[in-house]
Amino acid sequence: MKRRAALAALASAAAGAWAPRSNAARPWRIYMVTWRGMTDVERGFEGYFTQRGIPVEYTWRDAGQSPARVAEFAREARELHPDLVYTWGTSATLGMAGTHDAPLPAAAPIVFALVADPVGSKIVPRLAGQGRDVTGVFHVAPLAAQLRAMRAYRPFKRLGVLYNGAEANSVAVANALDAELARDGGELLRTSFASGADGRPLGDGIEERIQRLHARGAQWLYLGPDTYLFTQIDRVAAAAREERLPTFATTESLIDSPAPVLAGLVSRYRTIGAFAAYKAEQILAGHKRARELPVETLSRFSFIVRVEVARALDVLPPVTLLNFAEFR
Amino acid sequence: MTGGSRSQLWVAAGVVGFAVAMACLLLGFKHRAALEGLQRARLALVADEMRDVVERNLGFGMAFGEIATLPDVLVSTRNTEELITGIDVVDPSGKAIYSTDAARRGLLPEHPDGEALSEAVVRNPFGVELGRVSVRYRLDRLQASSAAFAGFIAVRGLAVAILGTLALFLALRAIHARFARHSPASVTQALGRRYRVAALAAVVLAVTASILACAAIAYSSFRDELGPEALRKAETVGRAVDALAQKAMRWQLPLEKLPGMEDLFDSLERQNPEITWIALRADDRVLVGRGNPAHGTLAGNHVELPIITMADPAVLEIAVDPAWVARLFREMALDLAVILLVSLVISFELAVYLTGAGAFRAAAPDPAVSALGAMRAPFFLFLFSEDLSRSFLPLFAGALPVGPFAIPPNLVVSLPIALFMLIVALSQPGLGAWSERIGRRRAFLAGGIIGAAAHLGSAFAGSLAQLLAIRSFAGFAWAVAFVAAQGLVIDNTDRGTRTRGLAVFVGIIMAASMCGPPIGGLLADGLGARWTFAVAAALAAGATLLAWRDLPRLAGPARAPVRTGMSDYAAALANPRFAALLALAAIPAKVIVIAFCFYLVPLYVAQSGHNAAMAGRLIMLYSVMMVLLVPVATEAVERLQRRHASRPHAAFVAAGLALSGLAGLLMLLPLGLAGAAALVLLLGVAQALSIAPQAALVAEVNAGRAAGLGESAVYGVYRLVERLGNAMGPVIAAFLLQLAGFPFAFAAIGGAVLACAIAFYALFREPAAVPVGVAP
Repeated sequence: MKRRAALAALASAAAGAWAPRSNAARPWRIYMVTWRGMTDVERGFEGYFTQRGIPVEYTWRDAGQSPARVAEFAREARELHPDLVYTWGTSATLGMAGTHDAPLPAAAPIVFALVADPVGSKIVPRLAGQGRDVTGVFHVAPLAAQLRAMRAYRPFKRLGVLYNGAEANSVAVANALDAELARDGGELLRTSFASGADGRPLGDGIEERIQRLHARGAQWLYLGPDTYLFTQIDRVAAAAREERLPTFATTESLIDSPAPVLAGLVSRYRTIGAFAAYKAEQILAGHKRARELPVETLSRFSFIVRVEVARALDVLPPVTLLNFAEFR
Repeated sequence: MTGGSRSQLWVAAGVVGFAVAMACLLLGFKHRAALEGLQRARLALVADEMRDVVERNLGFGMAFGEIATLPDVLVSTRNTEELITGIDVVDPSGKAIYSTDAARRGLLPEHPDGEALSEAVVRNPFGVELGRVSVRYRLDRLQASSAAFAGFIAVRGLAVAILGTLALFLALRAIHARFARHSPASVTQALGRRYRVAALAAVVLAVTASILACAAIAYSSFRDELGPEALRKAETVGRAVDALAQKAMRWQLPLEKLPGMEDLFDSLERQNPEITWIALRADDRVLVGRGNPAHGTLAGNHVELPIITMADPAVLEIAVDPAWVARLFREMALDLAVILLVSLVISFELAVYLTGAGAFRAAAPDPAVSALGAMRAPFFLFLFSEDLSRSFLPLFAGALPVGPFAIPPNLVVSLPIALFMLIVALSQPGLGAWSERIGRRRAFLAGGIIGAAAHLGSAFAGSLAQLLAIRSFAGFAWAVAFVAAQGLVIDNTDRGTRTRGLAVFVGIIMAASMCGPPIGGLLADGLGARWTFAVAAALAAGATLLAWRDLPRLAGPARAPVRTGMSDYAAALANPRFAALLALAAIPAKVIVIAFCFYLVPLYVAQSGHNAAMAGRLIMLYSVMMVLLVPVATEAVERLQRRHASRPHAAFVAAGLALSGLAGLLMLLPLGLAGAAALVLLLGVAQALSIAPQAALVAEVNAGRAAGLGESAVYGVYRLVERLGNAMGPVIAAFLLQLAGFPFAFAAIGGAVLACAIAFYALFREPAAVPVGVAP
């Protein structure tokens, strides 16, 4: 609530004190680093400044999923002296900022977006009072909110999860789910993807794994923010539909894929970008230091239900969901 | 008309008039509150719905100022509700971005009088306030119907009051004629128990009949006006369901087959307690229905909305409980009972006033008796005026601007009470001698004037600092009047009659503390806190006038003034048993009473969503218990003492303390308001057990000690320390409340007092070597 009040104060300040700078003023220079091309996040980021009439000059660099190129961008940024650095995703952010215990020399304050777990990936030691001029926005809704959303759709006792056992972030999410469910008498049924000799996950036996989860009594299949899962989503979702097992997504990319995912509580990439831009604005025009701005996620997420999938699975959404979910 | 019958007429008019006036005020308030509540809830539904529309559009990535479809939605919504004058969507600075009235767009809209706003805050997905939806609706219909009801009930109330007065007057005359046939015409003489019982019964009957008559007259008017208003609200609720149906239709979902329809209907019935049946029907077949189906078939209490569903055209049926208005009246029964009770106290005070002093001043044979009688009415009125604010003072203080001080809110709320008590404690020792010097009459007049001014000032208090300053004057005035009245009793009694005189004095205090809080709560709900303070000021001024007219001008018999100096305090406190009595019993007892009754209970009641009248009624329970049980407890102590030749005082004090402590621990149970009522009740019982034995112990533990230290000096120390406990109570409670919430604050204080009780009993179980049978 405190945060909300503070934000409201900032917003009203934004309306007055931070009047858009006149056209004569030098535009702010923002150095943007993306990991795999421009996404809706950047469109939301730039759209925010356009809407508010704040002139900004962007220097966009895409890493094409290569850490070496991010290292080059870090060097370039230090030469260019931008007013602010924007980064997309965990890898690009770590490449530009380093971890909090081994920081890289800073070219400018950094605002990141779409980092699933900024504390777990050691970008910041904690969400507020992070002690370095790095702030940003993470995009996964709190687990409790996700479970509430699932229950609002269809109450359950047992939740199945299929995850990549080699991805630290996925394991951490599964553990947290386990703890959250245990608190109110639920149960998590976990299965990880098959793994090859080198430890990398394999797509073998996805269908059998989902069948087994269903046979053990899973009432939902949880689709976490898992990079490998994203590459297999078509098979996973098809297998779940075959089993008539409802699927619940946690990121926009999963619910937006053509695969038949039933529902999800997700952040819109555009909104995430706008929120990151709001933080950037406070640093640039509001003369705040990045370390004074907490790392946050949205306070309202989009609950998305895909009606065709609901019909196919024969799990129609409860009527009250019409009040707050977005049907498509 | 003889003097006796004239005073009977005044008593009848006063008590029936008071009861009818309070009942009409209560009915008027309930009428307005019920109408207002229905309208507010209805318009809040509209504002929320519009907010959802805006936020949903923002969720699709649209900018706040670019929702092209919004103006049409606003206009069509306005046209569905006849109360709505317009809908604006404003930015955080209040500038209208959208409006149903094109001329308002881009402006800081002004809100004409006679319009109310129902607002909902619009936030973007990361919680920043983007603006507000503000639905403007007309109040003229509400005001007109409130005014019409006020006129309606005032005229009929007056008629009821006149009839009730006449009936009571005739009854009192008849009773008087029957029982006092052989007595002198004046009712100053005691006429025996049967006369008093008969008179009391007549008053109860007349007041009850008058109150019931007012309620019965109001009932039809409530039903005629609230019924249609409730149906209009049911229609708005129905439209919200219709909006869901339309969405379901858009996605081709069969509404009647969607899960959760029952839950939806249940939750609507919970949120709208007057709605008792909601159903989706097609061809007279109920597809989904919740509540009492019988209510759906009654004529005139349900609405039907056509609903388009996937299957057949359906009808949504929403019914309002036909007994809803009766339910409202049942909820008022408690308030009406309180009015009856307070009327009885007032009739008693009036009777004593009219027969004792005032009207028969000249006839009173004994100047001392007449002085005491003359003190009674002004003192009661003065205390009553102060007690009016008990039930709402914490809330009132909490709503005032704090200014530049960074004080936690719970402490803010406790400060006016604490300061009042502190001033009372500190000013009293010096005031005794002062009021003796300038005369009790002048002292009381000074107290009355300062008190009236302080209440009036409280009505205008604009900030917490102002209120604190004003309340300290009120505390001072209270102390002045208290000491003056107490001095009058002491001056006009001797050793033989003092106990009785002081009992009358305490009786007045208890009667005022019984009547003040509930009546103050009713007034605050009906008129607002500030007007209630104004009423208090008028009452205090009235008390001053009465005192000016009635109190004897003569100074009391001269006596050597007893002064308590610093050395007396030191000497008294050097007695370890006395110090232990103060620390383990006197202070904890006061801390817990003031912390609970004056501070925590009013706040707790407000936080549980009840009004000031409810808080006042709960606080009253304490005084009622004291009035009923103090004599019983005192008698029990004396009887035990006689029968066993032992002094059970310490046991009574310890039991009272322990019970007070247990009352606090009771709040750990999830009982809600019932718990608070039980707590106040227990606290009253507990304090009734310990208050008199504790005072007696003061003399006992000091007997034979501290040569040169008089009994009155010891009592002076005792009272001062006790009153400091009063001042500490709210501050301690505020601190604990701020720390960890209500259950903790209640339980912590209760636990500490329980510990004190145990320690006290361990120390005082065996009487020290004191002569047995020292009467205080």
